Amino acid sequence: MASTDPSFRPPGGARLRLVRGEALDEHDPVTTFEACFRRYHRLVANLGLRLLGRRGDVDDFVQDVFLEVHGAFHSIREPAATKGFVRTIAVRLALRRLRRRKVAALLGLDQPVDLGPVAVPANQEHVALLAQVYGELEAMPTKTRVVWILRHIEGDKLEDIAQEVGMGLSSVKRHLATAKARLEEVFGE
Amino acid sequence: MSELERQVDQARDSLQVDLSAADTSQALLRFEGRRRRRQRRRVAAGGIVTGAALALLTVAFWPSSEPKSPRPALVDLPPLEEVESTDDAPVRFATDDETPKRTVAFVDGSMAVLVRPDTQLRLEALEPELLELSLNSGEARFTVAKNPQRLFRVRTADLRIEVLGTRFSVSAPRAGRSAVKVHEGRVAVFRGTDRYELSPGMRLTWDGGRVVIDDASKDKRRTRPKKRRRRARRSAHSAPAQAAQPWTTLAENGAFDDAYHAMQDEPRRPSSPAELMLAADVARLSGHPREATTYLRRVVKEHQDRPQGMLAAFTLGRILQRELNEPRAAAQAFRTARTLAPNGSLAEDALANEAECWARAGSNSQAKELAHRYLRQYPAGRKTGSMRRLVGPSP
Repeated sequence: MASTDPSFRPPGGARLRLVRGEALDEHDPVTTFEACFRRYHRLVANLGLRLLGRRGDVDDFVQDVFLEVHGAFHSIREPAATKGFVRTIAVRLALRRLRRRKVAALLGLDQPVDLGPVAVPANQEHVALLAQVYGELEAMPTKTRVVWILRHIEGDKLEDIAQEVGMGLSSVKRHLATAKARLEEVFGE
Repeated sequence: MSELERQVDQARDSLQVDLSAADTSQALLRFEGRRRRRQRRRVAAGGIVTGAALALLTVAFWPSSEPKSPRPALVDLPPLEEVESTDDAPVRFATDDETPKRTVAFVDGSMAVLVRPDTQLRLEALEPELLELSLNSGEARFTVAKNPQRLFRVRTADLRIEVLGTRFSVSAPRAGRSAVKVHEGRVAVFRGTDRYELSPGMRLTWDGGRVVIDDASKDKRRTRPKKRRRRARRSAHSAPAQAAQPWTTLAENGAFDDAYHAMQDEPRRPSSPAELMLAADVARLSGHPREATTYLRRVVKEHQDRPQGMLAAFTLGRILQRELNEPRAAAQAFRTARTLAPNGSLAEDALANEAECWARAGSNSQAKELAHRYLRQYPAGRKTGSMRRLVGPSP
């Protein structure tokens, strides 16, 4: 950064346009983005925990998601679409991370599922069940895993899942059927 | 729905991250630092082309924007992390005979008009919860954007003024004399432990020995200060509904002073890491940094295995370093933060801060060793300059 003493800068905001062009376009975008961060921080963190299945990855995931959100924040025309926008970025980033994790697993660098610490009061039976389910999901293809989690853990509609993951409705149904068959096989239904 | 899906449906609420408003604030701070680092890396990658373009644009804009422009000079506020290191690079706004009046517009919508030619205003802190300025001389008029999350604070040598969205003027013609006039909204003014609330039209003057309050709507009168006894405090917070709110709600709304007082009245002490972190924020932002360290030490001691443990250690270090001037204790806190999360996003800052603290504490050998380690681990880190200074010239 150049000198931090603004007295050396030309008045009129020219320098500001250069450094923070988005600031003038959005009329106070810092506050707006900050509000976005504050509002959806918990949502992204929960989504990160649920999709990645590792508490240790959540903080880093949140930072990466908001870096991407910040980069494209000016393109949101409709404020009501912000939530969906943030969710879509989070889901696609999780997909990329899970794919990288698959590669790491091939090299023996993967880490086990870690869902804790979870919100209190957490039913230990529930936590144990989820840990088992996530153990099985680890073995599934990345998209299958994500689609199943969005449907059954997040409770999303099929249309929303298709939008977030970037696939057709029939593909979403196909992934859900695959995951369901595998889980029923393991859990004996 | 299959039996498994039904069970998962029941269990899914267990799968949530325990986050408080303080956690979000900390995450936002980390995000700002990370964004700026990424931005810097991109700028560096642009190299000569970007530099040349910037130089050309600067030259192109410089002569066309001399002071006649009717627009206020929008100030490119430095990133949070850089503003925090105001000891090294303070941000100042000043007027002189050539520029007798000047307007500073902050990006959150707040404005300061420097109305006398000898005015010196300095940006002391810019955090999600706090924008703090100090007026060292002259007079400035402030218009504060309404933002319940961010406290706007102005200090003079004698007074501290805190607001959440209003218009007021502060003058400090010389040390030992300061005045505050409120044009709109309400303002809290602190002189030592005394607290005064000013309404529109009221003017508070400190003449070096006493506080005088003038009310333009009534006859001039002198008002005795409200002592900071608990009962007096309750009456000072005139809205009973607000006083009855739990301290956590007040804190999350940015009313840190009220939250602090409410916290003192609360029989149940904070115990969870999230509560302790929030209590530390309340204590720190209401001007009780020593008390904040108590809460942070508890988090570090009792919740080391939680993510908040590392954050608490780091925040503890910052308070000891910057607010309490205890570099040795601060260095130890930063070391704890590094130990708890050696690969965390704050590890780089913790290492650099620890080195700086040891240097300030007089342990130059430790400072050098850590500075060397920093330069090895983060050769392109943002504190390489100060670390190189600690290492000194190579033999």
